[in-house]
Amino acid sequence: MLFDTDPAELDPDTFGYADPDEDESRADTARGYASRIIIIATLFLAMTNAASLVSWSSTVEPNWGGRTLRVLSQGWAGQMSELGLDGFRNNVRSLWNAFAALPRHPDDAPSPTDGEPPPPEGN
Amino acid sequence: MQFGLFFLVVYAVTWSFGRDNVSRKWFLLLASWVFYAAWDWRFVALLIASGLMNWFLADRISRTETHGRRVALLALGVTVNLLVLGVFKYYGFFVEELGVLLDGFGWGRDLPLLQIVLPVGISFFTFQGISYLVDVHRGVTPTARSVGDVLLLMSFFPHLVAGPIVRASHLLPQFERTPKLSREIVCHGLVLIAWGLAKKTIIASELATRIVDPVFFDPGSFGVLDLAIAAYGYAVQIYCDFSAYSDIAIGVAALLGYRFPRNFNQPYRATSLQDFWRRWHMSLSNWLRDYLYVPLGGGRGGLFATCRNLMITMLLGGLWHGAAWTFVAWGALHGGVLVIERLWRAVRPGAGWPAWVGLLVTFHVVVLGWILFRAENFQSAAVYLTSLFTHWQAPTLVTPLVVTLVIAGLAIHALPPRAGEGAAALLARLPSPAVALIFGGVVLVIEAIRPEGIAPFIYFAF
Repeated sequence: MLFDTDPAELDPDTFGYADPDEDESRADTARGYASRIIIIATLFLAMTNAASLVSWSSTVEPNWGGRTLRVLSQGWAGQMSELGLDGFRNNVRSLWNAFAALPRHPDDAPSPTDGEPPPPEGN
Repeated sequence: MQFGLFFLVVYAVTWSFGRDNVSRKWFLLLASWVFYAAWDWRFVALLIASGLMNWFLADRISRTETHGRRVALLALGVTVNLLVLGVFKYYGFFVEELGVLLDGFGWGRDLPLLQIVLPVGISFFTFQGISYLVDVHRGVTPTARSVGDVLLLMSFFPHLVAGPIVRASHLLPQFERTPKLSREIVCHGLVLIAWGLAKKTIIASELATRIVDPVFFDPGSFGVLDLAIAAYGYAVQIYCDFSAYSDIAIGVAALLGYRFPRNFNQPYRATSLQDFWRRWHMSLSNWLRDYLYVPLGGGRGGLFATCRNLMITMLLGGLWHGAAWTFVAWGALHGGVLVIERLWRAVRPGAGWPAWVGLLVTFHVVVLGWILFRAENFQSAAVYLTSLFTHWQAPTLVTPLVVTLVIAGLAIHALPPRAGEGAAALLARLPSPAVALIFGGVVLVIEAIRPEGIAPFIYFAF
């Protein structure tokens, strides 16, 4: 039954791999590999997803730090937009919104609010 | 965004300690308290006090020779942990129920109702504290080498607010050695983070705002199709929401060099409710088995005792989710079906039904349970269930997007069970810039299509 399972029968570890190599140099290499991925991905997202930075900065408390952050993020997003780096994000969003606004029935015209859901109420 | 920036700082500082494991752990502890304080700094003291109490009592248990005294110390620790949980989570519920009961006898009076804020993650860290004490008492795990390890065990930020419930025997040995990474674990961590983000921000959030929240808010206003799709939608939403949190927690911990246990294993593939509980919130079901069902007697006392123990375990498991009778009813439904399955096997040993029948029946029992779980109260659940079979009218909220999301959420269960490992193994062969661009590209797509304003994870409320 449910609770009669021997814990040893379960596979408790998410990672089905052996423990990382005890060899320090190989562990250091893997750490460098992870760090490079994180740095490059962060830079990539900072350039192509600057709109999220702007939208987050608008939620920060409007004190001196918050206002500075907002000005900096808007300036950065403007620069990225001039370079056309926000194009992919905008295109994907437009496609998604078009799909979200598809009518329920062929006879239905999409309502003005379709595609933009109401703000979440939590649970 | 805020968590992303926090993680970048924690990642950089953590690995800058090199082989200095003691400084790393103290830094992670401090970072975890900062993380918790971002929600409400007042409850950091509660977290610390709970950790100190569990460390002290476990230490006393391990040093005490007398069996009776060890049991007394364990009982004290478990009681204090449950008292903390009871006061913060159930005080208002029990006082209200007591008031109703006294009114029923004509003894109604004003009871001291307090508005107590529920500390996020309290159900998880008190259960971790209890498991640590019990495991030390049973000799399953030795006491931690330092008080810092116990504090970190209970406060470690990836699992702090919504699990998985990581046992001392799993995490303490990892704290004792310098964490290490491998390319496979790094890539698997990234896959889990991206997968979790997609499930939460696209599937769960879109379903919540487009159909589930409005239908459960006023079920009497909707027709059969809206109600049915909202019920399936909530089944998908709660899975994609909770498993997403677990995936992100496991992935974040992996990038810091720590391994967490698996918490979900495609639960809607279950062919019986017993099977479901081996796949859903596994860290909780294993906890309930080891620290509640087994101490109650488990399956050792005959058929009646086994069924009774199953029922008690599931009723308390339901109450663990929240201070409301609807959660108890949810637990009772699951307990009742588990008992029926147990009786069926006792009466017809070896008899079974085709797997697809078991899958369909189990899934619909689970969906029925989710209606109770999600409804504000019994009246709302009753209106929902009645309207589901009687309220024939044209659907108003079922759109191609909603149907696609429900199907996508269920189709996840048709993926190979080890798909994450497979994807990670492929990524690990690539150079770091390629992996970074693939990961960044996936996150960019998720960011582009996610709705503005994401609701908090459902299990934050538990």
